[in-house]
Amino acid sequence: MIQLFHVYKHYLKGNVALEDINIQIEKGEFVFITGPSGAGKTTLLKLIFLAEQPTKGQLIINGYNITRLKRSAIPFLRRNIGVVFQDFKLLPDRTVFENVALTLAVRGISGKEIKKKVWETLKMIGLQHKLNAYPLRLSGGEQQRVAIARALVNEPAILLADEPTGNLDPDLTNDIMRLFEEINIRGTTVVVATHDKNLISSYNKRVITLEHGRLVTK
Amino acid sequence: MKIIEKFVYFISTTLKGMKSNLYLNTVTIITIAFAFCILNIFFIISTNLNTALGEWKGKIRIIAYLQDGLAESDIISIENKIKMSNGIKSVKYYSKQQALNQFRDELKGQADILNGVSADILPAYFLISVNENVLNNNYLESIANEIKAIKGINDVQYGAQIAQKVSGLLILVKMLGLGIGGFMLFAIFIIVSNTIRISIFSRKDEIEIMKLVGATNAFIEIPFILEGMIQVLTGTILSILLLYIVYKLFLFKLHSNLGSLLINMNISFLSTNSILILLLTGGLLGLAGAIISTGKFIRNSY
Repeated sequence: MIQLFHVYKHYLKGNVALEDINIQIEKGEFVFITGPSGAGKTTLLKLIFLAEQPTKGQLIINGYNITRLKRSAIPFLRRNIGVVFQDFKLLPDRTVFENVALTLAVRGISGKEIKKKVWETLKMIGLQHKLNAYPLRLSGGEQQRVAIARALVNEPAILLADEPTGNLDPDLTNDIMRLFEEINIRGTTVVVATHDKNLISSYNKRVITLEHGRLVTK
Repeated sequence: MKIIEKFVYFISTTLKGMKSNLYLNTVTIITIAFAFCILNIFFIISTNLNTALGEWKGKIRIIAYLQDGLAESDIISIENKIKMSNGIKSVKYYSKQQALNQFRDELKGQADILNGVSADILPAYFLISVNENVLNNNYLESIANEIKAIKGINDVQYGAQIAQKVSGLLILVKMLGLGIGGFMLFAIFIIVSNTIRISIFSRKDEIEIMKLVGATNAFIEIPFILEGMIQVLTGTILSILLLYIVYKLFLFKLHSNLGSLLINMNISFLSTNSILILLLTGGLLGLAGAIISTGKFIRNSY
């Protein structure tokens, strides 16, 4: 599902974010990516959701070689990747429904179909009663669940989460992680970037460790 | 999504976006309206001046006065020689009596002063009209001199100097209009481009998320492009309405102050074709200005 072969990512002025990364993540796996701050976790996720291009090396996602992909094809590939962030990144002037529906609206899906899928997804995460609420009226945990709903409503093959529980208390963290496990059981490949060692030790999953842009364990 | 659904989506997203930057959009539209007002004023002036000059030119004649005592065959011969000159449209002969009758008609309510006046005191003449290109290319003087040189012609009169001065004025107005108009259109283009750029920056979070969930560049750009077009079209329509109100008020005031002197004066507003051309120009300007900004700030980022 996700394959990196000798991937390097350099920024200007010789700033090396990733060096010689070789990783293979199979379909349906649940993987943690960990490491101290500045290790390259976010950069690695950015490569996977195509916000950045590798400086060197090969990156294959869902069978597509990213280094040979035309720029115009990126949006279509992204529709199969859901992303969740630490700061939720919800649109404050749109309701919960509109935030989640955005993922489907960009694909040109009909209004009727959108309503059905959004309702089903919100029901799955237990927020169907907050359909018309605005994000700022929700708790942190609820906002994160809306962000997860937005990432999942399209039934993507891959779910990426960058420090998804960074702003949440332990109880909410557990809720979110249980949700990720449920999603993983349904067949979605889940990749969670976190520096929370307690979180990683609580769940028996594969762990990829980065340090100073290099792989320590895979 | 059906086409209508997509259309409704894009229009509602555009209007929502404009509402979120209401102050900026209002200022932009008003600025564009004023710029178009200036452009349209020049357009109206030059159109009306052009029409007036066209009518005037059509009335410019050469009057060739005949010597007294010419035989009919001489008169016919002179007429034929005149007709042979380049640029002559028509030649009409007026005898002494006809000249007196013509004079009486021109004096209208004051023809009594001609009571007792004999036709002998007036010379017979040829009334000569020339082609449009003669006036445009200043051949009138040489034609008049050519006619004056014909044996039997006493004198030649023509009012071309005034026509040429007015022609010159019209060219000046047109050049000024083109210059200022061109500058205004460029200014409008820059204003729209800048406003859309600001709009893009103010919604960069939204754009980032749309890219994240797989929106194509076109899907993201269309509302901004529509925003640019709506700004300019609204400004254009506003300028036309504003000018129309001023035009009506101006004419009303003019007629009420100068009354009967202006009975034959016909100042026309923009024609339907002109309005359509203005709207099309406005739409294209909005489109171009918006595309420059969306291309730079949306298409060029991942």
